[in-house]
Parts: sequence; C-alpha cells; structure tokens
Amino acid sequence: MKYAFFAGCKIPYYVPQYEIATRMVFSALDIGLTDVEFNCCGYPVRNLDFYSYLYSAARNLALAEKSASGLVTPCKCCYGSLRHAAYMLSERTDLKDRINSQLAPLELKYTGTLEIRHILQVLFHDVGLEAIKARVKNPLDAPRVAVHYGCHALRPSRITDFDDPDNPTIFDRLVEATGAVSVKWPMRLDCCGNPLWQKNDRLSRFLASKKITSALDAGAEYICVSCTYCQIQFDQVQQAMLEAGDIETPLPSILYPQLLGLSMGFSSKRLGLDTHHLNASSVALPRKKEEDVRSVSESA
Amino acid sequence: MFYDVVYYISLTVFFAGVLWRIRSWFTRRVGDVAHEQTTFGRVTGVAKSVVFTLFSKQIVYVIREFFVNVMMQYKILRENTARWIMHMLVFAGFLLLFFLHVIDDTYSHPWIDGYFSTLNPWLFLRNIGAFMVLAGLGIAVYRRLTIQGLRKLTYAMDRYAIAILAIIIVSGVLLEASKIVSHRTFEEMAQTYAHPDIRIADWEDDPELEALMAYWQENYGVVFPERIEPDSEKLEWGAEVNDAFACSMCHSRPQAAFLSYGTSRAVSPVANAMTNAGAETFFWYVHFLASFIGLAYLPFSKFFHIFSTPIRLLAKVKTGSAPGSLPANIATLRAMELDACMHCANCSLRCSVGPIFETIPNQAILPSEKIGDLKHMVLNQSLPTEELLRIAEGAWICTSCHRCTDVCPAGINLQDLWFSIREELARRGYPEPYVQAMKKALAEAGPDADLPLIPHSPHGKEMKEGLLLSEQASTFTNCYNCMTCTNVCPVVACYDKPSRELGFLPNQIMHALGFGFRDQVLSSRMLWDCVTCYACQEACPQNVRVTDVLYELRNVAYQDVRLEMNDMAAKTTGEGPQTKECPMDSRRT
Repeated sequence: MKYAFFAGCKIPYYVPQYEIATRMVFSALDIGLTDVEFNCCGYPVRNLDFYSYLYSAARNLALAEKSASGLVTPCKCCYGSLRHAAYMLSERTDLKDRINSQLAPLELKYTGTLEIRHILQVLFHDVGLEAIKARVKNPLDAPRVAVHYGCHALRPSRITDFDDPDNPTIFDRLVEATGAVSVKWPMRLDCCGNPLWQKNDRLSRFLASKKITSALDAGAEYICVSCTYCQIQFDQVQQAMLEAGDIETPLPSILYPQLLGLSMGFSSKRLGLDTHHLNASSVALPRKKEEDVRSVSESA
Repeated sequence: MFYDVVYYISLTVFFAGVLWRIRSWFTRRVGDVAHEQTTFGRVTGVAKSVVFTLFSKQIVYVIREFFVNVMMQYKILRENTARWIMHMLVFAGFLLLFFLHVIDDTYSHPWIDGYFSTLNPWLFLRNIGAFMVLAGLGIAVYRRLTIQGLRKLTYAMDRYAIAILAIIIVSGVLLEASKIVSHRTFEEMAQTYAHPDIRIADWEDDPELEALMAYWQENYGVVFPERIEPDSEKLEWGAEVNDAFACSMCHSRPQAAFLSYGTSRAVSPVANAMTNAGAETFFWYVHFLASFIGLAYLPFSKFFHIFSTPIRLLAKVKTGSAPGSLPANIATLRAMELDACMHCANCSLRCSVGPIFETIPNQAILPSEKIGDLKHMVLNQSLPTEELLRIAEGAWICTSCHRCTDVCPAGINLQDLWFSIREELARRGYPEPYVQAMKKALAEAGPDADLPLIPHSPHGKEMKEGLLLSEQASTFTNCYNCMTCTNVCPVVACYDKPSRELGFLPNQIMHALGFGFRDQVLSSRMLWDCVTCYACQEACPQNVRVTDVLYELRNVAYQDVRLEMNDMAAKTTGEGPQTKECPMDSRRT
C-alpha cells in the first residue's frame, strides 16, 4: 500500500530528526510514501471547538484520499485525532455531509475509504517482525529501554484500534527486534503530560516526572517513544525539568525509527540522535562487559 | 507652476512618510525583547551591524541575497511560478519605466548617449515597460479573483495598489495616443520648429505644409480636421520637408510605441473630437496627478514594500555571534518586519491552521491578517477587550509549525512575530483561549462553588441536551457512579486530596451532568486539568464517553467566551448580537 505521509505541525521545526529517521527506515524497508501538503490535524483546536477540529481533520483525510489509499503518521496525537475524526464522520452522516459541502469548493471530498495508520502499525503489520529482524544487521547491545505507548494511539481502543488497550505488545516487540531490552514498568501506559503544556505546566511536569521515576526505578536507561508530543515532553521538557531540579537523573528519550535505524546500520548522526536536548547517542554503543565495569571500579 | 507645486508637495509627503516609517522601526515595541531596549540602543545596534557587515565576509552573503532574492526574487519563484511571472513583469516593467521615463529629464538624458524620449528604442522600450506592468497587473487581478482563499483576503489596500498602477499606466498610454493623433500638437510643433505663423487650417494655401501634413497623417498617425488626400508626390515631398525641418531627427515613427499607437488607431474616428475636447490635457492631468498621488501615498500603502522588503531580506542574512543577533537588533527587525509584509497572503494559503478560518470566522487566525493585528496592537496600548480576545484566539490557534516563516517571500520571520503577539497579549493579561475559558468558568461559579449543596442551574437542561457529539448526551446518563473513571485518572492520582484541588472528579462530573449542573461542572479544575489520555473512557464499564464529554464541556465553556466577545463587539459597532458568528451554535442547527 502507498501511504501519504502526515508529519503534523511540530515535526518539521521541532523534531525534524523524527521525520528524517522515519523516512530512512521506511525507504530501507521499501515502504512507499507520498508527500501531500497537509494542514493541522485539528488536535490542538479540539479543546475549543469540535467542529473546527473535525473540519481540519477531514480536510486532511480528503487530501490524502486524492493521492493514496492510506495515510501514515509518526505522531500519536495526529493519529488519534485523525482516527477519531474518521470515526465521527462514519457515525454522523449529517456532519460528514456538512463538511463535504464545505470542502466542495476546494474540490475535495471525504469518502471514508482511507486507511489511517501509525508508523508502528505499518512496521508491525505491513512489514512484519520477521522481515524487520532480517534487516537488523547491527543489533543493539541490549540497552534497557522503557517503552512508552502513548495515550492517543492506544485509547479509546474501539476508535483507534492500535493494540490491546490493557496489555499492548506491538511496540515492545518492535523494540526487542532491534536487540534492545524492553523493561517492564508500571506506568508504561500512562500519559506523558504534554497535553497540559502551557495550560498547567506544573501538573504537566509532575506527570512526566512520575513516569520518568517509574521507568528509572524499573531499571530503564532510555525511554523509547513514537509520538511527536511525547518526544517533546521527554526531551525538551525533561531537560528543563533537570535544570529546574524537578528530577535528578535524566532518562534520555529515543524515537523508535532511530532505534530501528541504528540496528539496521544507519549512523546515529544521520538519524539525528545528536540533535536531541538530552543526548541518547550512547544507546548505539556496545555495553561494557560486567568484568570491565568491575575492573574499572576496582582500579578506581 | 501647478505641476511644480504638486510635485514638491507629493515629494515632501513621500519623504516625510518614509522617515516616519523608518522612525517606527526604532520606536515600535514588538514583544518582550523590545520593551527592554531603548531607541538609542536600537539605532546604535543597527549601525554596529551595518559596519560589521560591510567590513566582513558577510558582505558577500548580502550581495548574494541582493541578486538572488531582491533582483531575481527566488523566494517568490520557489513558491509559485505564475506569481513570480506576475511580480517580475511589474517589477522589471516598472524599473524600465522609472529609469527611461519617470526620471528621464533629470537623469537619463545626460547619462544615456542620444537619449530622446520620442526616438527609438526609447519610444519602444517605454511601451514595453507599460505592457509588462499591465500584463503583470492582469495576472495579479486574475489570481486575486480566481484563487480560493486569496479572493477573500483581498482588501481595499490591495485593490488600491493594483488600481493606482493601472491608472498611471493606462492614462500614460492614453496620453501618448492622444498626442499621436493630435493635430493641435502637430501645429504647435510646426510653429516652434518651422515658423511661428503656421496654421494647419491654411494647409490649402501652403503646399509645403500640406506635404508635411500628408506625410505625418500617413506615417505618424496624426488625424487632421480634414483628411488630406495623399499621393506619392506629396508624400515624397513630405519626407523631404520632414528631414529639412529636422522633425525626423526627434521623432521615430510611433508604430514602435505599439500600445499607444494601437490605441490611437482605435480612437482615430473620434480623434478630432477628442483633440478639440482637450483629451491631451485631460490625460496629462490624470497621468500626473495619479503618479503624484501614488508617490505621496507610497509610504502609507503596501508599495512601501519596494523599500522595506529588500531591506528586510538583506538584514535577514545570518550574522552568527555578530551584532546582527543583538537583542536591540531583534527588536528593530521585528518592528521592520511589520512593514515588510506586502499582503500577498501566501502564508495564509499555506497555513497549517488556515482551514480553521472556514469554521471560526476570525481573521486573526490567518497569518497575513494577524500581522496587521499585531501592528494595530503595538500602535494602540488600549484596545477594547473584545478586540484583544479576538486577537488572542488567533494567536493561540496557531500550532507554531513555522510554515509561514518558511514560505514568506519577504523573508519575514512570521513565527517569531506570533510569539511576540503572545508576549504582548500576556503583558495585557490575555492568556491563551483555553486558560481564558477556564478563568471565566471558574470566576462565574462565584461563591456558589464553595457551597456543599449545589443549587440547580437554570440552564442545565438546555446544556445537557446540547451535548450532542458522539452519542454523549445519551452516555453520561448511564453513569452509576462506580468511580472507575476517577480511580484510573492519572491527574486524580497526582493529589492526596483530589477533591480539594480538582473540584468535581470525573465520576462526579458525569453524575452532575445528569442533573444539568452547568456552572459547577464547568468550574471544576478537573475539567481543565484533564490530559485527554482516555484512560477513564477506556475503563468505563457503562461505556460513558467520559473524555469526549470533558472535551465537549470545554467547548461549551469556550463558547461562552466567544459569545461574550461577540456581544461586546456588537455593542461597540452598534449592531445586534451576532450569534451567527459563533460557529458552535450553527453546527447544531
């Protein structure tokens, strides 16, 4: 299937490495992407006006339908937002008709045939774990990674249809395919806190700090995300939290296509790992053998 | 005399206007950084930057920028070929006319060897220039009329810009055409260069004059009151007379002035009437007055971009740690950027949230209009509340995707300006609409919010029935208060005493909705601290769309802000309440 690539608003300027890494990995796995100039998915305006959200989302879906049979996004908030809109438009024909009449002057029409996917679904379902493992030339040396699922892809499950909402596994299995170890941690399905950013910064940070602490306690060295907003929260905001003393130990964040890209043999520089606020490049390094660690500590 | 007076008045207004605009680059305060800078600091900052640039390798980049983006306008080409052709036609055509025509007496004459406005190639080039500008204007009008979105964003200032240029060019062509056909001008020229007593009415008594007239009638397009029958003998003689009186030395045949000559042929049947009615004088006045009005008004119109945009483009060159990145210069750049916009509306056509303008008809959402709002706000320290609310809505619906900055052909860092709008709004106490809605909802609950017993809200039923999106109204009534939603909520889990911090908890909100407790529900912190993680909705055993309901309640609260804003605006303008302006109402009808 050919997918229209929906980067969302924040990636091009704030997290460009996410798009770069996704395109590198997708191209290596022969997943065809089409470029369409989309608008905002509508997610940010949903708090203010549902109809504006729905119109924004529907316009994107109609644009995508023009050039591809599927749409793929690396952002879980965009994913949830677009899936929710598609659901609403299938449930409510009155809204669909009204939106289509508003789209008509733009020569756009949403019919409802579009397949909306998140990049993890494409990797897991279209490519498959075996095919991915076959391309892993340079398996990572078992870094301990906390997999952060991201709310808006997971729930509401009857709309997003991403994975089992109570016990999801696809992200963990994709992470383990790269050679990394997915640690078990209690808060893996919780919110990163970013939706409250600029609305209640204190609470937003507190939610993030709870998650970071939980992951660190479970022995994680990195947190792996596959959502633009989660990355902003666990990278940019986490750095600010460290500077402010909200948390003491950093938990560098890595985007899944970067992790996969590393295991497929791409350099961490090309994957943009050096552009993060909190450097996560060490994930690619071979781990010190326990004897080495012991000898270092003994000599010290 | 009249000419000179108008000329000097318009020139004075022009220079005063330019100075006024330039002064504002150093005095206007845009955003927080500007409020920490003095005008003196800003002037010296620019001086430092200019000196630094001139005497470092930065000058290479400035020169490169000049050719690539000022002369060749690559940024426009990158965005749209038709627009580039349009702009290049107007730009190059206007430059050609400016150097070969506007300033010809003063400058071009002494500089260009053999320059004579009535000789080729100058005669021809002037028409080429006019043709280019008119063709460009034609494309501009066509684009403004046919492109979805652009048409809606075409205002008086855009129409003025096109109209004044068109009037100047068309009146110039008509002036030239009326001169071509004018027997009166012929007579005056003959009196000046041949003999002061010559009268064309006496042509029958003067065979030499008759020959010249026949020659000019046939070859130069003059239309005489009585048509002269040309024969080859007369024309041959006429050619000799034409050379003898040196007419041919100063006059190329007007066919080269293809626009004016074509026009003169078209009007030739009425040429005499036109000449007698004083068409030349009329078009002369129109042409010169329009030109002078254009000149005087230039600093106040969007034509000012012919100065401000190149300056902005050249100032954009990155100077690294150089004085270009001084806070004082950032303040100056921002102020200058407000003038560098020529309202091409490309940003609005490409804006990520631009489509929302279709559902929330607030122009402040669109970047090309937002820049005007910012200017308005910077110039007026006391704007009415509804105006600031409107601007705030536009400022925060923006997702900060930076696309407007990327596509601006003037190189304006629009995204940076939008951050400064937010700073300006925060300075005046206008937070983002989400917070605005929350504050309003919390304030309206008033003292009742602290009461343990909740009075029944009068508009409860109406609101309950209004929650229509998804099957929401029918789902929260299924709530049997099992508290699962509250128990799984990550926000509730952040507090030891959640009720004290958050007011109604999710299960209480769902339950209270069944009773229609509007104000109490909207004024619960819980509603505003919801992270929209959908844990509650996923876990609910009764399939209540908890998160979706919370979303819609925030919509309801924000609708209150918009209605209030519209009411205030309606009072100010003296019109009735514009409820239609509130799209959240109309979607339910």
